[in-house]
Amino acid sequence: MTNVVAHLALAGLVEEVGEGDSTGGRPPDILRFKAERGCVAGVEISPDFLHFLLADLDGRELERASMALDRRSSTPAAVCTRIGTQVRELLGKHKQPEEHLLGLVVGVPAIVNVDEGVVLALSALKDWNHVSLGSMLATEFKCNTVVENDTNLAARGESYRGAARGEKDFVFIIIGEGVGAGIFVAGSLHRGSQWSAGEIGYLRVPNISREHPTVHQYGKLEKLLGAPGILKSWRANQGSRTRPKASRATEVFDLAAAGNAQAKRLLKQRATILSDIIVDLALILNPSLILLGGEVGNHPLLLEEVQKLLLGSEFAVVRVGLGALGSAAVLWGAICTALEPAIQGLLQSPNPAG
Amino acid sequence: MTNKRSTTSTRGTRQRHALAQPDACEVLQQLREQDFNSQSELARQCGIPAARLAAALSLLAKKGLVERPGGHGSFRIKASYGHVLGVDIGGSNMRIALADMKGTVLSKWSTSTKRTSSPGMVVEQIRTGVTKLLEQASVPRRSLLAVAAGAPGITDADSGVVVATSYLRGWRNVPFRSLLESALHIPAAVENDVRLAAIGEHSAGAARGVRNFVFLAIGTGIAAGIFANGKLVHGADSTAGEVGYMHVPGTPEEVAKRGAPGSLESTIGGEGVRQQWLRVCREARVPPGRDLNATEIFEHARAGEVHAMTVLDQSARVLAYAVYNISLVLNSALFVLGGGVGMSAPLRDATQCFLDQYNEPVPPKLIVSSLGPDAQLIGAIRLALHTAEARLGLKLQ
Repeated sequence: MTNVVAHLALAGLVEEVGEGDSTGGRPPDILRFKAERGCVAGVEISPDFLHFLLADLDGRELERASMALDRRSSTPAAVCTRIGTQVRELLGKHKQPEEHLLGLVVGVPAIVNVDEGVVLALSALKDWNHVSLGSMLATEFKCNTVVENDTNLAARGESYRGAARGEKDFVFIIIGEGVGAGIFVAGSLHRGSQWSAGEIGYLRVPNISREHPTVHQYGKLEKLLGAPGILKSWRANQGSRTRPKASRATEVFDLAAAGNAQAKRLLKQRATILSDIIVDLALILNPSLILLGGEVGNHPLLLEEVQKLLLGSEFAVVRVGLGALGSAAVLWGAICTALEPAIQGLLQSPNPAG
Repeated sequence: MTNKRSTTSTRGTRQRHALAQPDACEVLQQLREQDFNSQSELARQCGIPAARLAAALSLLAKKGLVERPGGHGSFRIKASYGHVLGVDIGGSNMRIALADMKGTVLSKWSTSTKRTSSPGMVVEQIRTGVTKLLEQASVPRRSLLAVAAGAPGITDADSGVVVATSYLRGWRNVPFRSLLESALHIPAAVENDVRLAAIGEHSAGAARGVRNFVFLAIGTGIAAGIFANGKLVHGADSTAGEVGYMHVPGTPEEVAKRGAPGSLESTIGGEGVRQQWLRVCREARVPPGRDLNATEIFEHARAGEVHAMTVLDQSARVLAYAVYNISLVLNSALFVLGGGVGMSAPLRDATQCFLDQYNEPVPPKLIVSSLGPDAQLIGAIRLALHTAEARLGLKLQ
């Protein structure tokens, strides 16, 4: 065997499964990548849920799980314990010993100092201010653990096996309760000098009445585009008793699809703001692709409106599409993040305990 | 059958040198700042372990790029190892600089580009200029290692093609890098002028060592050279940084379309500021006096002239708005302001004031460029040095 293959075999990553056809000399060995040699886990912390994904070294899904969180009792310690319990349960289900867990990556809806594993501020949950989640996870698990912002992971997920495969410069805009963006520049995630690149929820945009906006009539993007803001607008204008009720922002868009005039107007206003943001992102970063995701961003009618508006713009139109992984993007980004160092780790300290 | 042991060791040496290449570039970068007395100090500055530093130094010493005069004592770049050329092409003139391996400029030459237009003519002028420079500095042609040129327009640095220019008339998809290489017979690199200036600021200006910053050129037009994670951002079609076209809040004094949004460039580019001034004077029924440019208007504002202060206030608000939004996307700590309008200290001060009022934990910092109109040329020299280093490494393999 060549040096490289010998090394891989020592690390337990490949095994011979037979011989191929000879093309003149000695028949070649057929090698198989032993994806079951280990596994990696991705976790997504959202204000109301914990989501889990266990995968083998090929990135193939082994198991998934979700559990509800109570915002008021979800302290960092409590969440860490629940993560520990659930991950071990998933490992057990697949008869994988804990030594086979080679990496754990956790996505949180907050700005994260990835180098130190510190969650800077998570306003939606109790006591989540400047939390050293990385060190807490390190006491819970022996393997390499990483904490990262969830939107960044979602962008990585789409790059790994979603709609952004092969795109070196793209932006994934996620519009749900809040608004954020994961940014890829020259093939790598861009985090910025203080880990907060892509905080587009704070962008100053003209308030709904765009007729004569001056600096004083600009507000935060999140207030207008996020799900709560859309619902608030819809309910605020509930003059007529015949106006249909909506309990979710997406229902307002559904009403627009069904032909409701006020819903259509609201959709058009929000789509206009979103397309202006997309134009600005295109001017600054010149991405080849913009993806939309999240509860609000995923709605096909919003994409359709945005595409129509962009066609009318004076600039070369950047391609806009929907994320392909839906709500699993964060988890797949976590798996992708865990895989490379996991395999590297095996290669660096090979242990024939495969 | 070849002797297995000797093949392995040659491959091993080549591999060792190949791995040392990026470290070697880092070492050269550090040595350009200062000489070093000890290997451990140098290793620490480069952020690499001692063994890798030793490998890098051995590679560099072997090539003769680094010397240790006397066998011990400080390490330094052998400045006279070779020379590079930096070319800055503007709408009205072109400047070329000849520098040594440390980046020290040995001589400069310039000529007007007002009557030049075709790429062929520009390359001819460069060829003439290079000959003159070599004579001036008494440097032999064979010591030239690389040339880098900045073009005013959309430039694809990977392919070396100038896609479109603003003032050099009618350049469309010009294979400028090949033209330079054919004319000068040395490796060449091509970049657009704003990005070259950003390289200049990163290597020798206010953004030294800053991994995430924006160089914002505000003059007739407005464009940005962006550094992210320590590298220039080009974008998918080489058009990253065209922030002049961003929509910004309108200025209340715009009589015709009261408060309508305009583009950043049309509002606070050189002409935009002038237009604001004329409008403010018209509204106040005050004669605008002699034809002032943006810098002068802002100076008048600093001196307390009321109408100029209105223009400065409006312009600073708009610039703060744009900088804030760009910084949310990129999370750049620093914005370096250049260009005729951007270099105004009163504009910088007023804009920083507005930025500090935004609800941001750490507002982005604004600094006026210290390199001024030299930023591009310095950037060109730095790019030429990188190009030379990359080629030297390749030759070894």
